[in-house]
Amino acid sequence: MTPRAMVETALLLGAFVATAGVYGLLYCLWRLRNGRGLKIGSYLSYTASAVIAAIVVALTPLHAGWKVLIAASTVGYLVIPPFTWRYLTRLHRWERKSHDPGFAKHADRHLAHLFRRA
Amino acid sequence: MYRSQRLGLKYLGASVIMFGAMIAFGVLSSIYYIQPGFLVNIFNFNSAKIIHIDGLVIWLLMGFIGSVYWFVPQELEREVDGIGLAELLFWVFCAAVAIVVLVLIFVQYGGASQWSMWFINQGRKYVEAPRWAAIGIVVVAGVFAYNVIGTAVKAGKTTGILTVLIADLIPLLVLYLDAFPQLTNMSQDLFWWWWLVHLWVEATWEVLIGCIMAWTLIHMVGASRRVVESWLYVQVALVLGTGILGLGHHYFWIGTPRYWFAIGGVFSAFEPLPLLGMVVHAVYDAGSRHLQAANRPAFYWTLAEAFGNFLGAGVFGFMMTLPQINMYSHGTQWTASHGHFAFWGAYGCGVIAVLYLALEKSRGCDGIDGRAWKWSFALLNLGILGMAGALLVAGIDQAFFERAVGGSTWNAYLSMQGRPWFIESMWARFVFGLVFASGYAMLVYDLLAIGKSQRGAIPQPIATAGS
Repeated sequence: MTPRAMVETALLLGAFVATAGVYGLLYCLWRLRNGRGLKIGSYLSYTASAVIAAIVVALTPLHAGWKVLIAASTVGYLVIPPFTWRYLTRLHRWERKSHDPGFAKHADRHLAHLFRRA
Repeated sequence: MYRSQRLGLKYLGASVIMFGAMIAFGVLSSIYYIQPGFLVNIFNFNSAKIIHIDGLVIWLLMGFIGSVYWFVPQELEREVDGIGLAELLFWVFCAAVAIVVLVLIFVQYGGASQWSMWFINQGRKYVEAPRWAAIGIVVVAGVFAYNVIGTAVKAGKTTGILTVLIADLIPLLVLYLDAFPQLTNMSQDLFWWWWLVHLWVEATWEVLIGCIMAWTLIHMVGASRRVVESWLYVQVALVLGTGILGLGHHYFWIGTPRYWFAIGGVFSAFEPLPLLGMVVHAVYDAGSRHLQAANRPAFYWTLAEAFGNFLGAGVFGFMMTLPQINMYSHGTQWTASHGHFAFWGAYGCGVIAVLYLALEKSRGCDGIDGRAWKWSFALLNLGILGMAGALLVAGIDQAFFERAVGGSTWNAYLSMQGRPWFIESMWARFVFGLVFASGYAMLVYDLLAIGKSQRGAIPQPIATAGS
């Protein structure tokens, strides 16, 4: 690895994670506020992250194993925000429902039904 | 208020003082880079740097201990077991820290003897405190663990957060014992020493701050305990899953087998992933509350913790973690840049959030707002961003010219010190260090002023939230 390639690769790796972070942030803001600009911004950020990953894979002198890791991370960064968001939303919804007397009554009936079947 | 909460406030107060000492010696350390003959043979760079770095460890540790003493009695609705001993040890701890700092200032170093190791400087990086003080830290940590575990046993109950904390206290104590061995083989010594340095910071401290932030969320915004605990389990699993074997990135160049390249590189590359999850969670919580909370400083410092952790540990760490890059970057100002930013984001912001929360409750305020905290928030974060940025530029310059082009020779090191980018970056770091220090001054002013107009009022009973 040449000195120049070392610096370029390091900066690309930093930019790769930073743009993935911006994607996560904009994705959440989009889900919160439903703005079209935020949605486009989140997609653009992820695209930038993926493009940077492609440049790292194609042009940097990193060993093949690290390139595979970067490619796999690209998929990881794509799914983490929606996955986390869905998990959090479900968790909060479940929490709200468990405090709702109607839901609790329904749950009790459901449990009683299950026990009867058992 | 419980006695242990008063003790928690004392620990938090002591942590603010140590935070100030750390900043003072940090600014002092930065002067040596722009004025190389500064205080030569009077107070050398190495002594200033030791107090700066050890001050970092101690202020955060005191902040963590104070936070736990603050939250545990609320969690279990009873006084902490063995509180008298804990109160005594607080003063012993403070006296020991003061003596160690005075010895490091006035004696500084000794010969290669048992005397020096026991009474001046243990000689192990980041845990330089002399042997007697290191034993004292073990005693304090042991009593702290006893306080928490004993209280849970006496109460006959525990909670999810407390169980995670108790499980974490054991490695926290055991790993510190790594400060003691005297191995003559450098590789073996470093191998075990990193267990203390890395596993404390990227495993046990991460879990500890996770528990503290979970309690903070419950008490600050009334977050649901079940939600917070579920998230804590996921985060702890992910952080430990990536952080423990991420240890490998310290094993690249110390004489360990080659397979550590793969282990360290792979797990370090995974480390930013859970941090991105934390950012998502922070935005979700902030958005669902429309950025509103009664205690605004605590709320904003909690948010800063998630973002700072991602940027400092995730982005700045990933830039230099793969072995091919790390071969040139390790031990340069690049590492210092990552270290400054990551410690601030992951831990510093969290401790400040708890400070605001504890002071709000203890001084009987119905929320905190105003201008002072905004100034301190802006100056501290601007200061750390500026310092991390300046150190990054200096580090890249160093890795490029001194390491990659110059081949890490002594001549390359010396000529590096005169390069314009390096010198300008060191000046920028000094200036931003002053900005950070002014943010600290504003923080202290704000903390002292909280609830001043309501000082006469009786502190409100502290509600047990989330139970």
